[in-house]
Amino acid sequence: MADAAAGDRKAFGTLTRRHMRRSLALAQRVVGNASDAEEIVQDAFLQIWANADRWRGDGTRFTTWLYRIVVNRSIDYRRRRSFAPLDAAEEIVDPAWSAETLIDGRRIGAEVDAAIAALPERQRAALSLCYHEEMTCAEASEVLQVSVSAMESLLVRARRVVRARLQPLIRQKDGVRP
Amino acid sequence: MTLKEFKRYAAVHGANLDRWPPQVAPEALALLDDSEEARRELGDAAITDQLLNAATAPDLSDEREQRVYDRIFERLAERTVPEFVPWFLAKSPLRAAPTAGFLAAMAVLGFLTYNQAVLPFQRTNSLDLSGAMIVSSYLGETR
Repeated sequence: MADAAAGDRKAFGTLTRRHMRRSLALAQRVVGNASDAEEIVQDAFLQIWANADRWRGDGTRFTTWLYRIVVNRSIDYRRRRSFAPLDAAEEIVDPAWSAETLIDGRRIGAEVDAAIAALPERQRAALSLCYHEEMTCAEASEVLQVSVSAMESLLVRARRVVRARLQPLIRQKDGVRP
Repeated sequence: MTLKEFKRYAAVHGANLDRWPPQVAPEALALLDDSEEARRELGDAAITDQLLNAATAPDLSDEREQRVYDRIFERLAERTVPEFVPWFLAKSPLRAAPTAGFLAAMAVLGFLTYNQAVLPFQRTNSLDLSGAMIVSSYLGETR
């Protein structure tokens, strides 16, 4: 990072390759769209290049800084897109599918995706950071710039909402009629 | 650890005790041995974990990574810094014609104002203090 801050493009290239995959995954989970995620990650790395000289590494890990930029950009992007016309909105999966289709993992995945997509941005970001990127609460709280207890509250609410939204799915899996 | 604390940790971190803060894991395990409700709570958290794990993983192919990488460096190439040019060879930031026009207009305006009396202009009188009376209270005299 120090070399990249000094204007070394080769070092910046190495840095970009090293963190590209996780940044893309994080952006896509927050924004919910592959092409938007690519644009966000592209802009995030360009922002890092432009401001590399401001990063001093004093206590802040590079990944924390990078993920903070990616998450903030994803949240902004999604807020802007939330005013998109209904045709462009994500398809809402009908929860009342038959028992046969229930065994289709992709269908379950789509239902879970829809439940996560319906969460507020910060809750979704909290889930992505802690469950999918496997960060600790303390690390994730630094990325989102909130206290650890606020981070925990985001996670609790997110899990509760996802669980409530997918309750029909759980009942069907357990063989209980809703 | 109380059951309330256990529930809170399960609600935050899920059923995988490896994700819990390391210092509380032994107490949590002890509580799991003793409490049926704690076990039920952990089972419940495991269901939520399963649901979250069922979310579709983003497609992260090498081609996609390369595409984004290439775009980043294309954009960087567009931002190349121009070569250094000495000031006497550099293009002036002022455009010649408008600047010359403005200066000419100001010169004509100044000439008309001072010499032709086209525009109203009141000349200032020269300073003359011969008729001024200075009033001073020093020792009661007036000069």
